Amino acid sequence: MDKHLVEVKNLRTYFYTASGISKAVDGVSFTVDEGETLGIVGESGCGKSVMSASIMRLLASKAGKIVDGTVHFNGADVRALNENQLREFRGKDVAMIFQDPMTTLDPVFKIGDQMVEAIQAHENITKEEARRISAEALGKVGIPDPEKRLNSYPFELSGGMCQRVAIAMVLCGKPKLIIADEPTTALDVTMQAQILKLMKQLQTESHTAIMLITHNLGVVWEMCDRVMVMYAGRVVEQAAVKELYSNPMHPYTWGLMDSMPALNDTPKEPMSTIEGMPPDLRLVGKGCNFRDRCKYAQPQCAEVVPEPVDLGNGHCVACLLQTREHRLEREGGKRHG
Amino acid sequence: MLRLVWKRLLQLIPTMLIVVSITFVITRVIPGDPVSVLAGPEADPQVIAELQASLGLDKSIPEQFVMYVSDICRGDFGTSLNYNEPVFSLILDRIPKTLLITFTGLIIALVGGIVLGTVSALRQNSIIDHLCTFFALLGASMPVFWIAIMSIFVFSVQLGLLPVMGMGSLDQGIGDVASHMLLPCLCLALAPMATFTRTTRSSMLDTINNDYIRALRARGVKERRIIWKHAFKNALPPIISILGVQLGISFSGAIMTENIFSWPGMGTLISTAINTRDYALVQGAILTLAVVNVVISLLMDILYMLIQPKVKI
Repeated sequence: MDKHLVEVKNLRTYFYTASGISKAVDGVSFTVDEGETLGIVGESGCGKSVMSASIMRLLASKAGKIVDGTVHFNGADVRALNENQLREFRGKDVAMIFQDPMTTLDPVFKIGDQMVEAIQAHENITKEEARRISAEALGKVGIPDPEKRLNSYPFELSGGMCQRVAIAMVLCGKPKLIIADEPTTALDVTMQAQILKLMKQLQTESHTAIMLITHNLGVVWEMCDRVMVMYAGRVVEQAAVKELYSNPMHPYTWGLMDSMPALNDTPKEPMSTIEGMPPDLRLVGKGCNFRDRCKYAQPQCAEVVPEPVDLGNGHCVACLLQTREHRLEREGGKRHG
Repeated sequence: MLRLVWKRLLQLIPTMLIVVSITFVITRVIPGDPVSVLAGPEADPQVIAELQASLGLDKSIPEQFVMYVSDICRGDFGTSLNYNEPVFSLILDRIPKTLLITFTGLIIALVGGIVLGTVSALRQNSIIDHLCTFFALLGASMPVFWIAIMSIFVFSVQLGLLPVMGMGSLDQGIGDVASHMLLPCLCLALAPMATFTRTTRSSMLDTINNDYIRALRARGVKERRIIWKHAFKNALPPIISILGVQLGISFSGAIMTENIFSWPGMGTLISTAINTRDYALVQGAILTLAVVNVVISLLMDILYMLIQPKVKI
């Protein structure tokens, strides 16, 4: 059996709220290999961010708890790490890039000081040495005049520049895995393309694995080797990028694909959408979470929780109607790929 | 920075003029005058007239005002009728003693409030948090004079642990002064400490839920460093503003506290001056407090600039 860099099994993260238990992540399993890019897509509130926070044990709210499942990184059990080991793990083994670059840097400290702090958190080196490494990293991510920028405050930089600084900080720790939580959502389109290109380039140089969380299917196509589609706290489909785009199988994935605008769309015809709303995560548990919005739903979908089934080539689908023996006929739908 | 200081010092002139006018008017408006206090209730009208003439009180009120202002401009604050000493030297003698207890009290309040506030923010909704909130409510609702009298009653009268009044003397060692300071300082500290606790708690709560705090954790920075360096510096501005306000308030609080503990500071000086209608002393003392307040707010603004790089005045 080959070793995976990250191995998540049956992860469950629940939020204990006054009005009930919200099952933000409800039995998610996946793996990431070294140097691989895994895309995680799904609509807002489907548990993507909570899942990545759970892996780093960085749940923002005290109400959120990992209740079940295992997370192994390089063979080590992340859930068993103590305070000090966790501190070593964060930043050095796994680094994170956040959605809004303007708010991920402390506004009242200079960029250089924050970078030095991040480096010195893991390496026992002098301030001068850490500053040199920081300046080098800033140069690498394409920030002009890095020495001078070390003395800037975050508010003196644009959003794109801040995201570059965040990436430079991540680079300094030489992590084996980068979790990028919608790294380009807050940026304009040209900046998005530049940041993604930069991440791709740095990944090839240092052979880092990336978990890219996004709701942009175009970005996934550009960046990822494999994709995982999440819906209401569960993984509904998982496959290699090309396989997923040419042969999507879960009705939810079909809906996602159909709602993507294409160049050959008929003008003036309304774009296709998935009817309805995602379920209330406090009320799910029995049956398939997508059944209320699924036009193929059968009575059994309300009774049995669909388990992911490998339908060949590592293409896993969690749908009762998509089995090795029996396939659903897709109605309508656009062609992409 | 220098321009700010200049601007503020220029603003001092109209502020002082307004303070001088208001105290001047009020001292003249309240019934009674220094002459009747000096001469006693059954004085000869002849004596009263002479006294009035010697003090310049026989002139019209606008004339008196012009005289007073021109004296101040020449640095002459007049002579206290009650103490028979120049007002300026009286104030110079008293001000350090007031600053001693107000600053000590405020430092106790600030440090205590920041620690309590931070602890309760970090353990939101725990028993410690509820205790701190309860303490803050208690501190904010108990009036200083009541607390002062009760603490004298308990610690000095019943338990006999601490002296009742006065300042003690440095000749008997610092311990003597310190034991005299303890109760007044604690009484002065209580209300501001409650305010600091509440402000720190809410400001810290706002700060620690920010993305950059999460990002710092994700970078593996030590938790203690995250809280006391990053979160604290970001949570500081509201605390500084409250500190400025409290510094101003603490002087008026000192008037009450000093009177109860007979502390020989500005507070007792002002109240004696008011009771004896010692015009020059009242005006001089209040003018001094006004200047101190303006200087404090200037210092607060400079402090603000130092912790908030975005603020440039």
